[in-house]
Parts: sequence; C-alpha cells; structure tokens
Amino acid sequence: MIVGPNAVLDLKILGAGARLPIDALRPVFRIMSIGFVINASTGLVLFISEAADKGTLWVFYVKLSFIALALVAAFRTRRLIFGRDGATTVAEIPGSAKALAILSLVLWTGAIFAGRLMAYVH
Amino acid sequence: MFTDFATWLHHTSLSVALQGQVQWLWPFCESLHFAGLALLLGVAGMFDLRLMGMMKRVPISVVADFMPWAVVGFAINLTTGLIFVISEPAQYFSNPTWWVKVAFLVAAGVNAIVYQSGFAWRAAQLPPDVDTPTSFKIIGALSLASWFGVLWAGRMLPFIGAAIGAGL
Repeated sequence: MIVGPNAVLDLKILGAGARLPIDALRPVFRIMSIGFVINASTGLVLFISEAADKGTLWVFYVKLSFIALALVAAFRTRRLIFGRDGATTVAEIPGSAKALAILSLVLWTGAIFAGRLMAYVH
Repeated sequence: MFTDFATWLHHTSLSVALQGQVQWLWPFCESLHFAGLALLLGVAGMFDLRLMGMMKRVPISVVADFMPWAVVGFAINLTTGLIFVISEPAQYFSNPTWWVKVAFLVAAGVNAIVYQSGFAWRAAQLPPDVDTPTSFKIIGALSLASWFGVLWAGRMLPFIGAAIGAGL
C-alpha cells in the first residue's frame, strides 16, 4: 500500500496513462499513509523482537535511509503537484517532479532490496 | 505423484544450471519478486478499486491505460517465481501453502478472464460519475481478495507447512 500506489503516481508523472487527470491520483497519499502506519508498526514489532540481531546489520540502516529519502521525495512531489496548501493542482508537470518520480522509484526499489537482503547479510 | 515430477525437474539441465548459479541469484530474484508484486498490486489494485466504485469521475478505460504496468509486474513475478520453483521444486510441491498460493493465483486469473470476456465491453460503455454495477464491484473485490491471498500465502511459505525451512 506504499510502494504500489507511489509507483502508480510516479509512472503517471513520467507519462503513463496520459488520459488520466493527475488530480485523480490525490487519494494516493492517503492510501500511502495507511500503508505506512501498517508497515511502520509491524516493522517496529519485528524489530523489537530481534533488535539485538537486526540493529547491528548495516543493511538495515541502508533500508531505513532509503525509506526516509523516499518519503522526502513523496512529500516534495505532493507539494510540487498538488500545491503547498493541497488545494491547487499544477496544470503542467514540472521537470523537477519527473526527476523526483525517477528518484522515488529507485529509492523504493532500493528499500525493498535492502529489506530482503536483511535475511542474508550477517 | 508430484514427487516424481519434482525429482525430474530438479535434474533438468535448466534446474541444475540455476542451482549452480552465484549465491546472490536467489536473494536478487526474491527482491525483484517483492518489487514486482508492489507494481502488480499497486496498479491492479487501483483498477479493482475503480471497479468497486471509487474514482468514479475517471472512466474505467482511462484507469485501464495503466494495466500494461501490472502485466510488467506479473511478468517479473512469473519469471522470478519460475526460477524459484525450477531451482527447488520439491520445496514448493511438498508445501501445502504453495498450493494455496497457486489456488489464489488461479482464482485471480479466472476472475480476470471472466472480466475480460464478459464485462470489459460494458465498462467501455459506462459513463463517468455513474456508480458501477454490483457485478463490477464483486469482480473488483474478488480480484483484490485473491491477489492479497496470493501475497499472504507467498509470505507464509516458509512459516506454514514448510518441510524445509529454507527461503526465510
């Protein structure tokens, strides 16, 4: 519920689904928030149960960094596209939003890879 | 009966080649499998929610423009999934949870075929801002439920019914 909806928004910004008005993707951020609450709380439970083990893994901090940066990218994208007050949607997608969209896809993919590698790297 | 098939598959040249691959191939494919599922569920999930009546002002055909990306996600996961099964067939065929996953996958596939063959043409005629028929809502909900079933059973593979505790 985080990466999927964000990927849809990124793909739209990069030109997919040209007939879809970008304004229709406003709910993406609400879905992402729900997904983030689920994953942050379950992730915290998983971490608490194995903190001594996972806390020493460098790849765990790589994962956290990727997530933090991807969230910053998501917030910046929202401000660029839907305005500071969340009321106005841009008429044309700025180039900076496209760069952020590519960055977002790379960062989330990085977070997924780093998370999966936690089971292998010791 | 699948034991023989698993043994045969495990000895095919393709399986042997995959087993002899670099150690990072398996975790790499797992990571791709996760990224692919995010793409597949993100895009198909949006379409399912549209069928269920959300985002009514956007025509269904416009939301469907994104569906090739769901197919990309599915192709990534089919490829990486086949790599897992061909490499270690017995590990999967002997695990009841894997068959649950396959059952959910078949359900999602049949549901998609039913939609494509019987309902897609009606979707094209459905004007925006009009609530979707109950049949559309059922198909959307079934699709969401079966894909989450695939995801859930997949994640439970090492935990429920696994004879070999590999692949955590």
